[in-house]
Formats: sequence, structure tokens, C-alpha cells
Amino acid sequence: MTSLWPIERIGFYEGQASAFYNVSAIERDYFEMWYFDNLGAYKSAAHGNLEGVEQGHRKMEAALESIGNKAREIRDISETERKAGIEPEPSGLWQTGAYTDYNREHN
Amino acid sequence: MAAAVIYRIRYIVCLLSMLSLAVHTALANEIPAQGPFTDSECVSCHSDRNPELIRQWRNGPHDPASGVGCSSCHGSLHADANVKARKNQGCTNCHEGPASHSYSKSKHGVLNRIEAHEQDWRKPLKSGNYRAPGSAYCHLHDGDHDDTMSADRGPEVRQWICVGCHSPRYVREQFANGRRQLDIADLKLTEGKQLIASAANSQTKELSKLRQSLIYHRRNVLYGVGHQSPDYQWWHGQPALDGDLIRIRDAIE
Repeated sequence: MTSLWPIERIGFYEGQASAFYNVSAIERDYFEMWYFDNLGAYKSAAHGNLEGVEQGHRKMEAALESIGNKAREIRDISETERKAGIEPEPSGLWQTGAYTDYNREHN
Repeated sequence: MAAAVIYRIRYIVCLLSMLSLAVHTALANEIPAQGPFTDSECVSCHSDRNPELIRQWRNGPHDPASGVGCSSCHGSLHADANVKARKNQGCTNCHEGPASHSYSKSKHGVLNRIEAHEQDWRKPLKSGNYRAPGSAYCHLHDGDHDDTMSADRGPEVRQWICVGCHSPRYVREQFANGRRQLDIADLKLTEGKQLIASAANSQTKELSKLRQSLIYHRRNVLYGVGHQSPDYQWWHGQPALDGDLIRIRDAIE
């Protein structure tokens, strides 16, 4: 029936993954900083909410520091592995799981 | 002459006695006093007048062990006792956090808030009496003192409450949509728990925190679905669970 009379899909898309799902943790941190903290500060400025602006910037500063620390840690590990001649072997950790398997077919 | 006077006096006394009896009987059937009453006084009197109501209260989430008494919601006076309990504030005084926040961000919550002053709160919490349902309308429907929305009542009861205002087809679609959302959230919860269980050390502080985060965000999806709150279905729910899965993998890799 839907092939004869297509119906626009509305509401929750079954199995739909959110933006920035298939990324590393540090990228996810950046996404949340950019989307929630930055947007919160921007919207607060647009609506004249000084407290919201300050809160958004406080969160962004904390996120920036955390992301910087993690980035240094990752670079240090990478440098240590390079010097030791270790080649990181990809595992299936990021590719399997109850939701990840389902999502592969339904997203 | 004297006999006529005596007759009239007897007639008046008789009339006054009957009037007194009628007033006394009427008062006996009405509220005996305005209070204030203690919780035990409420229960003592209403156990005779509304035994089913007291039974529901004793077996419900606000049972005596919970520390919630009659006066917690109704106040200690008879005047406006029901009005107090029907308003959202009676619930949100205790129910804070995502449970009430998700509702307040929903269309029902917004309508209920901005039209609160126009609503006649004296009306029973029945179909058609309220333009937008408050907490008590759904959870304490029509005087129910157990939780009408309790999971053990089954989806039929919840659908019946919604159908009081919406078309059955629309309600069926919303329920199917919500069920699928919870199914997806459960898949994410399962994946996260299995990942943590597979870690070399699953008892680290970081993983324990992430396990709690999974449960918290799964509950947000439930609040989002139950309260028809898009922000909780989505931002505080599904993508937040996705973030948990990413961070769990990062922590155990």
C-alpha cells in the first residue's frame, strides 16, 4: 500500500542514531560542548539572560580544559606507541553490540 | 381561649423540634467541621465514608510508609482540599527533577501552566473537565488514590485515560511510537551493560558512573514517552544514551 500511496515518515525513525554517534569520545565531548554549552550561551545572549551566558561560558571553559587534557593524553600514547614500534590493532569493540547490530540494518 | 393558646404553643414547639431534627440530620450528613485535622483524624473518618479511597491510598505509592499523609496533598482543612490536590504544585512540591521537568516541558505541561488561572479546579479529574492534563489528572484519575499510570495496570488503562481527550487511532499511534522508542533505548542499555561486563575491570569508578548514566538516560526516554516530552525523548534520552555507549567503549578500550 505504501508503494502505491507513499506516506511521509513522521515521529521517531526506528533505530535512528543521533548526530555524532559514530565518533570517538573526545569528538563526542566536542559535539556536546559545541551544541549544548555554546548554544546555551548563544540563546541566553539572544534572550538577554546574563546568568545563562555566564553558565554556558563556564561549561565551555571546563569542556575546553577537559578536551585539551584528553588530547594531550591521546597524543602521548600515540607518540609512545610510535617510538616502541607498536601498531594499534583495530578490534571489533566499536562494531558489535545489541543496539549497534540492530542499528546497522535499521538506520 | 386558654386551650387555643396552649394548642398554638404546642404547635410551635412541635414545629421547632421538627426543624431542629431536620437541621441536625442535615449537619450530620455534611462535613462536621472545617478543621484543621490531623492525618489520623482524616483516615479515621474517611475509612467509614470512603473505604475504597483509603484502601487505594494504603496500597499505593503514597502509602503510610512513604511518609505522605492526607495533609501532604490536601492540606489540613476541608475547604479547597480537593482543589489543592488537583493542582500540579501539590505534586511538584515533592516530585522534582526529570519526572516533573519532562512534564513541564511537554505541550500538556505548558498549556496547564499558562491556563492554570482559567481552569476550574473544583471539577473532578474526569474526561473533558480539563483542557490539558496535570499530574493528578493522569496519575490520580477520577479520585484514584493509587497510581492510575502504574506499569502494573497495563497499557489499556493508560490508553483509556488518553482516549478521554484524543482519538483512539491517535492514541494507538503514540503508544506504538513510544513502545518502539523504549525498545531502542533498551537495546542501548543492554549493549552498554554488556560492554561494561566485558571490561577487564568492570568495577572502576568511571564505569560505575557510566552504568548509572545509562540507567538515568533510559529513564529519561521513559519520561519523554510517558509525558510526551520531545526534549526528553530525544536530547536527554536517545542521544544521551548514544554518548554513554561511546564513552563506555572509550573507557574500556
